[in-house]
Amino acid sequence: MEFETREKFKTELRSFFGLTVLNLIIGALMLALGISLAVTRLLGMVDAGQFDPLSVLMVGLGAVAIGAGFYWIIQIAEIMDGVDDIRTAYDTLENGSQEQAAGLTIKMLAHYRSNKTIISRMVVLGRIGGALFLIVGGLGMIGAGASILSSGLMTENLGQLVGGMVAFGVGVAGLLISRYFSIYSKVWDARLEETARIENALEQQLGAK
Amino acid sequence: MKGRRTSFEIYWEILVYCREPKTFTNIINRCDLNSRIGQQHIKFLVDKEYLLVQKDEERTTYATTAKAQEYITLFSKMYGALFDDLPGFKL
Repeated sequence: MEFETREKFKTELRSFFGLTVLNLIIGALMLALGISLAVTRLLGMVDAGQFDPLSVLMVGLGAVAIGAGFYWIIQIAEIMDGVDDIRTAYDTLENGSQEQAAGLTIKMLAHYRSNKTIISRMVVLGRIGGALFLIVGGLGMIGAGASILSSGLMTENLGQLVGGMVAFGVGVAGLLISRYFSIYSKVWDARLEETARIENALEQQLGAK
Repeated sequence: MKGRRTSFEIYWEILVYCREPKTFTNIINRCDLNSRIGQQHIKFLVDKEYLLVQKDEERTTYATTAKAQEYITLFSKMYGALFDDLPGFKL
């Protein structure tokens, strides 16, 4: 029973740490794609000397992605810092007792309580960012497809197609990670609710009522 | 420790830590409490007879009593059960 609890602890820590690392990668990709999108379209408009609505929209989306990417990376780095501390603490307590596992549970709960708002924002941001990149990627692929149909397969079209596919992939990944964070968040919210019930029992034990 | 803890969690940490007699400074450093909050929590546990105050010529120490073991066990058991439900994914 004790061993099982510790194993679950370890699995969950690994999952959450993996999730935060993936989130960090997605944040970095979002930042990079945002810069690429905004700069490419902006330079294109400057070169052409005219501002078409689609390019202006893309520059706007790129700017939003840059801001969101920066914010995302900073927030996730903060979460990762805490998770890493907990995981390191757990690694040193491999052969610990149920009591030591309870101590680590306290650390994890405290970490979740402190980062609950950020995690909720990550869920929302992941959905928005994911949808944003799905749109950008979709538009890119449609544009590339139209160009290929009209002027044949050329390096430029191929590049646009690959770029669109990458953006679409980032969008799908953003939505998936957002979903994972959401699942994680629900489990921890349930645990926080459970701690409220535990507190009643402990209060009785302490005779504080 | 980073993050927010409930009073019950802090009580548990103090009680587990004080199995060997500890000074007030030891406790607040280990449990990451400020002096005021530390005093409040320790006073509560002393009043409940979960902590025993031991005074000698040089210093005052606090030690967990046998009475506190029920609380420690109940807490450990209930917090252990929090991990019965896991998120439905693995990475």
